Amino acid sequence: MTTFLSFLINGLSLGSLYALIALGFVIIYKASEILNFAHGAFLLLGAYVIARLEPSVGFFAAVAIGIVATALVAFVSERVLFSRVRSAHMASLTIMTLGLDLIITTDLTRRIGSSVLSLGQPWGAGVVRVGGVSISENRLIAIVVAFVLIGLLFAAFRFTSWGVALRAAAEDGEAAALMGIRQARVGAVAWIIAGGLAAVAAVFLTGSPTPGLEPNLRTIAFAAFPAAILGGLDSTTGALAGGLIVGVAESLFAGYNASLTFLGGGFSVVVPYAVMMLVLVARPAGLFGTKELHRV
Amino acid sequence: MRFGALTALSEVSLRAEPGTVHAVIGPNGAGKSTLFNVISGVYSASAGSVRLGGTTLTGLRPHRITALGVGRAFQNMAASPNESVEENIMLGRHLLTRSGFVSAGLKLPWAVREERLHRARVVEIAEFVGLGHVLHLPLGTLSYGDRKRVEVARALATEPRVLLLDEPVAGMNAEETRRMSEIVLAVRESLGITVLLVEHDMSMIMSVADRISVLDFGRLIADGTPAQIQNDPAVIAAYLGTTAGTDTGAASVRTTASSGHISAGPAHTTAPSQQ
Amino acid sequence: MFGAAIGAIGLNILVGTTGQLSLGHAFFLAVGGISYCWLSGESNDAGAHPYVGLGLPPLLGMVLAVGISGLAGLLFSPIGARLKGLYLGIASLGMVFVGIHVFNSVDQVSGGHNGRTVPEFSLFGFTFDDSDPELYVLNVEFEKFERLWYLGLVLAVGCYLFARATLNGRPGRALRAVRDSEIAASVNGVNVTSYRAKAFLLSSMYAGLSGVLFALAIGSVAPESFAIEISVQYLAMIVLGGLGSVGGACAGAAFVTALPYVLGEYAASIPGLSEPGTGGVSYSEAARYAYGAAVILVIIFWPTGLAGIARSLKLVSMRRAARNAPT
Repeated sequence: MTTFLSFLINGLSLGSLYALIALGFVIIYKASEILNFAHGAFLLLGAYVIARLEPSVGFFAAVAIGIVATALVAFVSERVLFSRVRSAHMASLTIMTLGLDLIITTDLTRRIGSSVLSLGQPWGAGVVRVGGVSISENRLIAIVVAFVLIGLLFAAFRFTSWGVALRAAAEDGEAAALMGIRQARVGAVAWIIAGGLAAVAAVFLTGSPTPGLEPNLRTIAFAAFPAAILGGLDSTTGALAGGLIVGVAESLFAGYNASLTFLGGGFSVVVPYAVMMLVLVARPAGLFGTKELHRV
Repeated sequence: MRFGALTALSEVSLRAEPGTVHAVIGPNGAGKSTLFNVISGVYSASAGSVRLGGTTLTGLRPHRITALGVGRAFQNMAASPNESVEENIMLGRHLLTRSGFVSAGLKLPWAVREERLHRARVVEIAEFVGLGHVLHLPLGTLSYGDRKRVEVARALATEPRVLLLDEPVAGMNAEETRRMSEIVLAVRESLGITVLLVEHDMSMIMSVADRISVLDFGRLIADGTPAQIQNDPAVIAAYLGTTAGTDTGAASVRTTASSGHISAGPAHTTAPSQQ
Repeated sequence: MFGAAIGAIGLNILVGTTGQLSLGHAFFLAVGGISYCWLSGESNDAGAHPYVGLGLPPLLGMVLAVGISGLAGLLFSPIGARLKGLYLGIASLGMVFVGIHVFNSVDQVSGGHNGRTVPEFSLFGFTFDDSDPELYVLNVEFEKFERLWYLGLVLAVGCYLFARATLNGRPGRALRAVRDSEIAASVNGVNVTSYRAKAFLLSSMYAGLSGVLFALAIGSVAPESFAIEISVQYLAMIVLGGLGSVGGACAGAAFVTALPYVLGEYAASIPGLSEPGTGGVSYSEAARYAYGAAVILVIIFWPTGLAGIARSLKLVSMRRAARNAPT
């Protein structure tokens, strides 16, 4: 039972990080109707900037700069690249984000090489034990930070003018534009926030029990895509739920791997995708996604 | 026909006689497009029935309804702008042709012959609506009026018994409107097709319609010949805006048509408000 | 390269013509390539990683491998036909990850992580490898590379013609209608779900054949050979070539496959590039930069791809002809 609880709590922690990434992914989709496959690259970028700066400016300053830098890169990509091609075919937009992803990851992978960089998280690799349930300090802090940020973000959706504009733009871009909502600003802010969230998630994803920053961080971040879609691409609640579901499922399958050998070794890595496909067969628009309504 | 809490059509019952041009008019939001969506199966009625002759169309999927002889020209053109005019009209032949991936891909003789025969018919239809000279141009390069006529040609290409025209002259200039009116009349005269027409342009309607039904706030407020409608006090009131009020009751369409007459009877449906 | 062209044509039918996004192409390539090895390969009991092969004639193996890819496509049609556009894009990402896992698990078939060698292709006793009978055409010795090149050429031309005929005919019109307006398509009598499933099926069969050729060309395949990067490459091919165009898919395939070779060839003469491992920017990295940048620039400045250019040239001449024609 305590083992199960351990897996569950670790899963929730991982899931809250997936939710942070998935939320970024969803708000970009809501604002610009783009599936941003460069999101993994943003994550990598945030982690890299922090790792490089940490020795000279200290951890917290490095994190702040990392968040700003990632948000800035996201903002610039939106302005320079994606805002020019709003009407392009979705395959074109998707491949464009993949192109951006390729450039950023190639460059960072080359810079990181085969080394494992540390982001210098001050909380180290300690483990907290409560009644037999153990979780790394890093993962515990991750839950707290992620939920605070998610709470702030949901409040922002509800109470700030940007949040209202985002929801309106996602409902009907043209109508929102007619009502004086500046889509450009909504889009830019969405990308900035998404970039920032990716950098925060990177801080915790590279902490214990993970050894540090390796190029495959991007692959780990990929699991946030199924999280976003199984919740429903246009639903922020869905991103949160999807993130948690994927995180917990992955953690449980990893934990009980020994008794699940019939599924093949290392099945936990593909669990997010398997869960996603099962959900989509039953609900093609995800758990919380809205079915498109047509006008003729 | 209901959209959430909103009832878009209520107790609308109309019957189009074979071989006539039957116009449906009404102010914006009266439920005209919803009526068409119910008839063509894009929305399904929550109550009531749509019949074509003896066949019930209610609840059938759009492609089945097309197969039974209801052709529809859309209000805002839903065709493919990069495809040629000919290709766009050919789409209307979909149900009348058989070739699939394998027979088309291997260019089997019968598939090639089928394609050729139907292309010939498409050329005829295009000439019928006066588009013979632009057949090979991409649709997107045509003028607005020409594109609207492509839409009518495409609906005609399904060889319908009933043709639904959704605002065929909206946004057209006088000359374009005149040509469209001629086409509508020619469809009735030489093809013997029943035309169900939604339109705002009164002079166009008065010149082509045999019978007019007036909708307001989802209800049928008048039904008669153009002359009767022009003098109907309820219609005049609706157009001058003296009646107001909402209807939260049940919604309906009844559509009956045999070899060309369509009638919509008590029918309700559910989705967001049209117009 | 011809294998790539076939795969790109198949993906373009799904993405360009039908308007569905798929990142699952690598999976169907894997199904084709690995099935071929399993069907036509020999068993290997030696060593720590045994695998089985049915030893069927290669041509039969190739045909069956394409059939199996189609079956896999059918198997996924509940997803492929019901999901729309971007949703399918991510769902198909799942096929690649789950697919690699499944293939690694059935190591008797796939050879597991170590992969397996690809049986040489032969047709009526003529083998597509370096062996006898030696073949000279115009005094050039036809070795494996040249022989496969022609095999690919013949298959690619066949696939090209088939795709063009299909897309110019009734099925192609129906698919484009589904892409441009689902409602308009259905009102014209097109069964939208069924056509999406058919496009998915056809696309997966093209991918399967492409996978067989890919396997023949590289000589040894493992499930990891068909990673998500392969899907991305194919998507890049059709976007660069022009969405919805069969010829464009081929042009895009040629461009994407040739880019690393061209850069490799001229690596020495481009300042700033260095050999792998020396710390500078290696040519394979340079190729990745170039390819990422090319994709982005083409979409911004040239959104209809190579095929779009050809089309607009044709349009200009047609307009001129229409203007000159007596009215």
